[in-house]
Amino acid sequence: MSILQFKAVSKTFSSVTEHIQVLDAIDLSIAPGDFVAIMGPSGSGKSTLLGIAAGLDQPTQGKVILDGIDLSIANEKALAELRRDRIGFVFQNFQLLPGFTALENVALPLFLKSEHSETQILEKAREYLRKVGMEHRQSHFPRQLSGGEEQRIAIARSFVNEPRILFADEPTANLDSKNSQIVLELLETKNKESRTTLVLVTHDPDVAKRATRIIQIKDGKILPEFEEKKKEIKPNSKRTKR
Amino acid sequence: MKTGLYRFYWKRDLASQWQFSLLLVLAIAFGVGSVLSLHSYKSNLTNSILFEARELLGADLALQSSQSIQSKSRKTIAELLPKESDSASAVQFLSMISSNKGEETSLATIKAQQSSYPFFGAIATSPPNKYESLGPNDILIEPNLARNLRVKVGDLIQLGDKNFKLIGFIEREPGSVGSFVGTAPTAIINIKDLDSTGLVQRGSRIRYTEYIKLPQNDSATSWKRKHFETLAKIDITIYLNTETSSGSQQFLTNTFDFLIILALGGFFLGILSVYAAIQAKLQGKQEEIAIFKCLGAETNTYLRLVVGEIFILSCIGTVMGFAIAKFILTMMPDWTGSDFLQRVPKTISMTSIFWGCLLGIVMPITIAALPIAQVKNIPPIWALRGVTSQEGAKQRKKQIFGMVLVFLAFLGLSWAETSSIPKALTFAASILLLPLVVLFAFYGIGLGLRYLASQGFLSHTWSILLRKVIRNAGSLRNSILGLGSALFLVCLALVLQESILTLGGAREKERRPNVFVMDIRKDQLQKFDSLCQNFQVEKRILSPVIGARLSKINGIPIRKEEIQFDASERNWRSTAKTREYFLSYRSDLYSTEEVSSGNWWKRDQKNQISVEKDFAKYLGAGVGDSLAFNVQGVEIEGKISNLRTVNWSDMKPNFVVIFSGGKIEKAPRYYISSLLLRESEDRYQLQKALVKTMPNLTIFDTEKAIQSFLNILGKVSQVVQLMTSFVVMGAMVLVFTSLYSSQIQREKEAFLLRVIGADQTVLSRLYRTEAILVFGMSFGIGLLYSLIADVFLNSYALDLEPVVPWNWIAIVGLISAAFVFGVYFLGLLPLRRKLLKS
Repeated sequence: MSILQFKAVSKTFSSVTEHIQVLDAIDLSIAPGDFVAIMGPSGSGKSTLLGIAAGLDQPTQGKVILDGIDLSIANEKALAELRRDRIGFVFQNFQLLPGFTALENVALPLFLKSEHSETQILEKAREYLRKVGMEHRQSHFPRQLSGGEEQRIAIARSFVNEPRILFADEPTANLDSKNSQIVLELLETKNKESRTTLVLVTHDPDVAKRATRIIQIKDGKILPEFEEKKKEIKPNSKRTKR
Repeated sequence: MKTGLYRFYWKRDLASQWQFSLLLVLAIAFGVGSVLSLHSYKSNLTNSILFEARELLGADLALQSSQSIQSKSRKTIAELLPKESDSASAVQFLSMISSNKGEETSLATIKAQQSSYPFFGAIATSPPNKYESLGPNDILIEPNLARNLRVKVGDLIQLGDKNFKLIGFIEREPGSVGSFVGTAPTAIINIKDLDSTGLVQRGSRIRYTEYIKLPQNDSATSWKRKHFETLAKIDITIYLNTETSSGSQQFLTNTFDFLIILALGGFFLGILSVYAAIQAKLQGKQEEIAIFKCLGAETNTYLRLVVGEIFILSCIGTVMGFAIAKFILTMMPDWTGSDFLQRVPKTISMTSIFWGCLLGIVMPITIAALPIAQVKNIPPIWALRGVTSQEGAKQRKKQIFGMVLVFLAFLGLSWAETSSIPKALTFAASILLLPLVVLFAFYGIGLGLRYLASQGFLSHTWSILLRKVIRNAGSLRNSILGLGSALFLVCLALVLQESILTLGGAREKERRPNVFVMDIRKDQLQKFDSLCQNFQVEKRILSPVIGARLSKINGIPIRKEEIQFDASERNWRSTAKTREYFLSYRSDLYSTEEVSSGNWWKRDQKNQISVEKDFAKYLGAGVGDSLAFNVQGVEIEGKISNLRTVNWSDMKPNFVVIFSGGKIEKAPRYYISSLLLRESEDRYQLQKALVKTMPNLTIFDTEKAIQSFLNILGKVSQVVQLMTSFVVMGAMVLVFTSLYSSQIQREKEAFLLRVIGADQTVLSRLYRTEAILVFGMSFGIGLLYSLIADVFLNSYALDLEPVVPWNWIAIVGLISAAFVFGVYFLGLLPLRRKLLKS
């Protein structure tokens, strides 16, 4: 069973003078626990695809089903609940709130759920900061952190709700190689240990190599010859070779 | 409810954006404080007057006439009054009073009354109960009059042709509250003694009053409404107890109108500051809301966070506003000085609390509604792609709708404060049209300057800057709007303040005549002249005075029922057709007068009339029209040959209507004279000498009256300056908010410019030029509009001659320039450090 399914999804942007077809009848299926890299040149529609997959945007045509929920007909409340409970998102430019400390940024999703007391929330946030190696910077504001540090905090924030699926939009684009490695390892580890599905957009082939599956997109279409990457699967993996 | 989330968010956001939070709080606090304090004070004063109205008048109604109420009129009155009404007669006039030996004299307000008056309250005396036992030949006087005359109980006092025995002192009496402008201390005699004083003559300025007490359940207002016109036809005017000393109430009304403008202006500044602060705060939150949505926040959750934050800040600002209002109230002067109004409470009234909450909490949230509505629809995809601002036709419609709402709310507030729709419209329009004026001027001047730049008359720096002026309708326009609004209100406040002070003659340098002598009979002229020659009298002017009533304009008779019904609306201009006139005649213009229309007459031209130019409008007559006056039953007609301006504060015998001569010279008349006698001791000796030989004379030492009036004006100035300073503080908050909110944008701009090759010199030049533009446009627009608004307000609401204090306006300009350049310079400093570091 898929955790994410696209059925003939198209996305068109309209302006006064023209219509731009960004996605063209995309069919896609992602299984739970997959690590999928979406690659393509600039303007190919990969970020748009990611946004639609995460329920941040609506397709012009077609259906998107995420964890059993049809995103194209879900109302805003249902979408918000989905983002709160089942989805994590990592942005290219980190998107930490500048007025909040590192700890508070990580705690924010927990506050939105309001199931626990403030002390419990902050303790849990601290735990996740520890996991990404940023506990020592918990009182710092984003402007006091380096890019790599910010992205690690953003990753901790995306993990804190134990999402079923993580979306990452070019998470290493603004980082140096060392920090890129750290960030990718965190994401990979999460995917392997928790079986969290990971969908990652990148234009870097070295980053894409880490995925179990690569989807190549060009001019709004998925290229069939690059739909899958055959990868050697280890014996204790749940994956099967095609 | 996610209380943990709200607590967490508000605690952090309020702290991290403390600058905006502080500006928002201060903006609300100053605005609320200024409106509250004035509203409370005015409300408390009005309530005090209303509460004590009966005791202030001593009756339910006062029927007044300038002529003795004859038996026929008394019969009419008796027929109109309900059964079981009571009435008491009283006569009041100004006269000189002296100690028995004539060594000391003083001006006094003489009240000859029936002992049944007052019906409410009491006349308190020391020793007590002396009023009740006031018999023939007895007199009661105020303690300060006794000090002037150096008399004690038991001494004899001369009033006109009669000597009275002083039986006690007046400690408290009705009918005098609020009439604090130029009154003399009171002396009370029994009405039966009036004739024997010989002071009552035709042409004397006497007020005849019948005080009425109605049966308990009868309404004085209804009775007045029913019989006003009937009694007006026989020259009797009805006053309610709430209209006591309506001239002074009118003065207070005008003064408070001016102060209400200031307070509303202060609140308007507050609204602009709130809007600027909220706009800036929410602009930075667009990305934040997208992120929140990505993290799973529902739209309403986030909106509650933002609205809740504004609500918290509004509450803090409102509480501070109350504290400021309380502080202002403690500094307000005591207006009345009368013992009857024991004390005007300096508390915040209940209605003011309601207004404060409405203005301090509801208005900011209402103002914030539009920008909040804009951020509500931000899609979460913006977190991915970046913020895109979309201002389509729908947004513009919402903006216009928002502006209309604010105008209506402001109009409502103005109306509630002034109780007059025309005044409210005038005030609201004067203040709220400013943003439109700024907008048009902004684009007009910007386009003009861009044209000059395109033709090469201005540098490249101006060229870059002016593109931003025209296209970028954001922070630069808001800065100019904010600064321009602040400067507009400060300039307006200064002009109005100066106009009020000039009104009272507080700014005069040249010595004006300071003694007025009235009621000089024709047969006393020689004696008067010879006595004056014993002193170093200067600038002496003698004018004949003829009492008359206007009977016709262009042959059409005047209706007496045209008297203004509401006494508080009754001023000397509004009663142009129905009031009693004091006419005069002369052949020459004063040096302080100027013919504005028509021509001054030649010496041989008779039966020509000159009318004061503003008064002529109320009369509805102009050059070429004829006026007929009834002078003791004889009609005297003349033709208006010119209109003239009169300087009422020059202390000369001024008249609204004067004749060139002719038939009027034969009318019964008395004379008044003004003169200048520099030393107060000389003035006193002259006064004694005149009164000794001519006890019917009334002599004003106007130095004392001016001092008394200046004392009142001093209190007015105190309040005006107090309120102006709060307006200035509110203006500074707005200026700072406007400039600070654009600082973020300037920082971003500066970094981008640095990237493409601009160095520190270029940046400094660019922002120096921007500062010049911001200050120049703001000050120019603000000053010009304040002058226009001043003319508009004076014409339709305030009845003041505008006087512009250019020196103070220049100082305001210099300080504002320093402020603008300071903010720009300080804003560039952190950039400099960052640039150097990078």
